[in-house]
Amino acid sequence: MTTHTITAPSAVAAQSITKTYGTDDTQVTALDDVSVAFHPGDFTAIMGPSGSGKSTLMHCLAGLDTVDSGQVAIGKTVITGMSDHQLTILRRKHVGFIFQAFNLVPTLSARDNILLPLDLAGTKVDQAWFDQIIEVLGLGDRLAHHPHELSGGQQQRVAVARALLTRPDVVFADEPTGALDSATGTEVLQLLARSARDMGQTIIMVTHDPHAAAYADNVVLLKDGAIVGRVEDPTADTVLAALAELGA
Amino acid sequence: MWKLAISQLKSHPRRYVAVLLAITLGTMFLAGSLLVTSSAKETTKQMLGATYANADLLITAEQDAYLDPESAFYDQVGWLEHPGDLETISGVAEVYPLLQVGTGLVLPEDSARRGSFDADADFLLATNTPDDTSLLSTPITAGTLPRGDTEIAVDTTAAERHELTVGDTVTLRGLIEDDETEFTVSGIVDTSGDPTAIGAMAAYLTPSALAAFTGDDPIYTMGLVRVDGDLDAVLQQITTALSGVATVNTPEVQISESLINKLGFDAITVVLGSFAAIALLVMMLVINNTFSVLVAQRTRQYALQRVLGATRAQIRKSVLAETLLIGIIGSVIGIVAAIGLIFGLIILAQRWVARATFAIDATLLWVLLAGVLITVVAAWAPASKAMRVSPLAAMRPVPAVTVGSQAGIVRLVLGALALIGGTAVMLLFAFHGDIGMAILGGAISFLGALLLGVLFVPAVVYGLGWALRPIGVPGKMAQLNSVRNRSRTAATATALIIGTTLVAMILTGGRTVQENTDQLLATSFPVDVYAELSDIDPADSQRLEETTRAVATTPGVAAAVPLTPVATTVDQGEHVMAGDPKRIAQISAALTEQDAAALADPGTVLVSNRYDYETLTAQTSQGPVELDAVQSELSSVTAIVSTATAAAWDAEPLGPAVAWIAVDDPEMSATDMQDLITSMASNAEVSAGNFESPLIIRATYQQIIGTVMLTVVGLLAISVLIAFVGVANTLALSALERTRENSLLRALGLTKRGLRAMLSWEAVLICAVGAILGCALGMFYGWVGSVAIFTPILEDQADTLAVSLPWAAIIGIIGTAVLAGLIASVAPSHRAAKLSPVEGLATA
Ligand SMILES: Nc1ncnc2c1ncn2[C@@H]1O[C@H](COP(=O)(O)OP(=O)(O)OP(=O)(O)O)[C@@H](O)[C@H]1O
Ligand SMILES: [Mg+2]
Repeated sequence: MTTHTITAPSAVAAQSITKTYGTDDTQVTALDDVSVAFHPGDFTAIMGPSGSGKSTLMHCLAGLDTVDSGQVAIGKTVITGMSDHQLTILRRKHVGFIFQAFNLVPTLSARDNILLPLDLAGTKVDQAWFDQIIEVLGLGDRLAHHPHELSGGQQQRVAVARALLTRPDVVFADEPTGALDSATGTEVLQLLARSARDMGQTIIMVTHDPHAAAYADNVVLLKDGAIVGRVEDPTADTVLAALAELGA
Repeated sequence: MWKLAISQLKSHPRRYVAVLLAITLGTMFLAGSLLVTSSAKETTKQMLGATYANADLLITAEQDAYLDPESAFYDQVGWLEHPGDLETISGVAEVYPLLQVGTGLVLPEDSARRGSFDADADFLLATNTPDDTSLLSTPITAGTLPRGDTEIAVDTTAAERHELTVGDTVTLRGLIEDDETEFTVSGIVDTSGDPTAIGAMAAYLTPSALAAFTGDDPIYTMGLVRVDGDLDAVLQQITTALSGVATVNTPEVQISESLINKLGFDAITVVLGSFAAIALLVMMLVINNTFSVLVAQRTRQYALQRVLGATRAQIRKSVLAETLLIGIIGSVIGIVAAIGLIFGLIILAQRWVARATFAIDATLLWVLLAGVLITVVAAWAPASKAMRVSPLAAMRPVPAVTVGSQAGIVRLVLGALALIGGTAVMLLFAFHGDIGMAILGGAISFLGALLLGVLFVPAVVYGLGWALRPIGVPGKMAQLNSVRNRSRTAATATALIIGTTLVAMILTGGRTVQENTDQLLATSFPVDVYAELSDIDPADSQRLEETTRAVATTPGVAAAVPLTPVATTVDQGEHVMAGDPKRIAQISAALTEQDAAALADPGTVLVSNRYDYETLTAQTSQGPVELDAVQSELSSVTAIVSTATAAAWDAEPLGPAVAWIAVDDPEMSATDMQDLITSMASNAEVSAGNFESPLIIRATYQQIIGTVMLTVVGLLAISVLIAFVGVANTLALSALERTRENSLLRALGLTKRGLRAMLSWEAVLICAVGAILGCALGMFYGWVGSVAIFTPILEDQADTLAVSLPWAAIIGIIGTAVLAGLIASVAPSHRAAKLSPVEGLATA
């Protein structure tokens, strides 16, 4: 770990979290005593083989799922032990999401989709910030369209806009480019990297793709529910090498 | 094919709960209606049969024959102590003429009660005993039947009311001659179950004892025959002997014939059946809608099966098997539930009607057939539509909803034609008072409205949905989701519209009829109560005044005025009544101000506005007088002159005076009016029998309409209930379809409560719109219906129809619908909220 993180508070942190599914003989340990901290403004990729617990970790960090033991904190707030209602309220403003697909509510226009978390919280939009995000994402002429009128890349950009608009403590992205062609995927990844770099947005992205991971500031490697390594300033090659090591 | 169908049912049993419930309710209603009829028939059979169940043959006289004492009927069947000629036929053991004679059972000395026969005797129906007591079917509970002319057997009713036990002495008084005879109670028999004799006390006397009460030519209509030879041969001979004067039957045949002829069971079946048909129609809509949703969700699965090599026919068979299975399960549950319910009700009814009997007949199998057929038919169209989708098309992502398919346009054109044409026909005939044609037009117009539902229902839903916007995201999402699938929403609401339209129509029509009872009864009542003061000399004006004042000061009475008949109109022969104009005007509705003023002129007579003459000649005891006729504004007043005018003639009253009475509350119930009359009568010391109130007729009439309305609404409630099941079902399936999206909303910060609210508002929205549109249509049809009914009645009256819209009830209906929507959404929204967002997001 780098030195400057020792004093700075984390955007998201997990302390010895464990998560198991099933009972007795069918029990699966999805997360096994995981401790990890993500620094504000960092763009982190989580990688690992299928079934290694990436999605589970993300869900636990985001307050979508509960842990069996250990603690999770978002910003200064310990979310472990919070009620479902409290977690939901917290997610509105402090957590952003970008999923692989079906990110948008089909009945709402792009604008309404972007504003959804704010509408849920009942707060006013920061118009300047909104305009800036739309400008950066190039969605200006698409705001009145409904999701089925948008391309896959445009849909993901709308999702990115939605995730950024509340200036959350952290944005979680679960394979955000998984359903996109490589050109569109690259575009979205560049956007995410820019958000972290220019806007100081903390981003945690789950991905299988070493090229995607290369856009991140660092990579956390997961295997069998445990963190087994890190790659700082990753390139596609270093990530591939680290993954190959894991598979061995 | 069964294997796949069963696996469908097994893997998602919840999806079928609502369809099953709808089928169950529909078939239960139909089966229940049939069971009510069959049980009522059987019960009546038992009760009717009570009198002659033990006879081998039954003789029933024709009306001409029994009214003629010289008729061959009496010669053949016999009189009390004179056996008829029939007894000579070989094989006939006994011919028992069944005589029933009204007598008075004298009350005990110390009884405070007034008798039902005369002041101190109760009415008792006395019957002769047969030679062989086995002909009587009523069981003997104590003692024996009378063995001699001084003995009597009374029934349980009489024994209880007069506290009689075996060995007691009773006195019977004759109806024709007033002489009394004493009898000793020899036994007590069960009260007969014959519905024609219900309520009356009955007793048995020996034929010779009964003869003392019958008069010279007792009339009777029935004879029972005991046969100890060949039944068919005897039947043949007796039929010949009685040809033209009586019919002969076995009791079984007689019962079913009299049942069919006299009692309206078939009418009951038709009425209940048509309500069941409405329920089945709604059920069909719900099934159709459910399967539309179910197979839409399965389009991909079908396509996958096709890709994997299943032929279209194979898939079709599996769908057919699935619907058959559901239809059979639902119908069987419905029929069994109906049997249970009616059986339970009959058991309960036996407390009051001992012979109430439960009966099933084969018609129930038709219910099963109907239930299954309706299910298959209703489910078939959507299923086959899903199967027509080509495998490749189905594998692609489902596009947004499209409007304007071929079938859609045909439907819209047909709907528009039916709506416009039907409404025009309905209005045209309604304003001409042709009810039959108006109903036909109305039915077509309603059908058109339902067909067009897909056009305007979603629009109204969306429009009303704006009201939810202030609630925030859940309200907004509810609005948007409710119009996501236009045909689904339209079908769901339409099921509800059918029931609520009919309910609102009945309520509007019923209310209008209630409010316009006076016109409907072809009389308006200027006076609340009339009293004929027959006990008082009409010339004794002081007593008249005293009596009237006593009436007027009774609490609840507003005013009373005496009127005396002083002349007769020469043309019509009607009485001309004399009264004080000012006081008559106080009987508010009796006279208008103008009428009272006109009446004050000496020499005028006020007549009904039905007459148009200018002068009127009236015959008084002093000779004819010529009067100026003034037309009243009312049609129902009798000819009136002022007391001053009458005094000038110095004429004698032509009959008893009457009092016109106005009450404080003309809307009072019939029983309250009865009580008021009793207290007026006792205050004024005149007999209560002299009072007469048209208000009682009106109140009774309104009560009847109210009861009919309530019953009809109750019967329609089943249809509405099925529609609510449909709402719950659609919502559940839609929520299931949107699992991913709902989880996304949850992840983004929609609380569980918010999610539940979103789904509840959607259900409430659809229910409210269904109810509002139904009520609007219903009020319109109710109004037109009232016009159709009243047009012929009002034709010759100047009055206009005041349509009363039952606003309170309408608000009640809409409120109920909103509540039902909330209830319908409980299960689906609870289930949706229970699912964690992580699980929901994982579903494809
Ligand atoms: N709801 C669940 N019930 C039971 N086991 C589960 C559940 N969700 C996840 N698991 C198990 O937990 C482990 C981790 O799953 P997770 O989805 O986090 O893996 P992943 O790293 O995201 O895999 P992938 O790359 O395939 O998405 C796996 O073994 C999985 O089978
Ligand atoms: Mg995963």
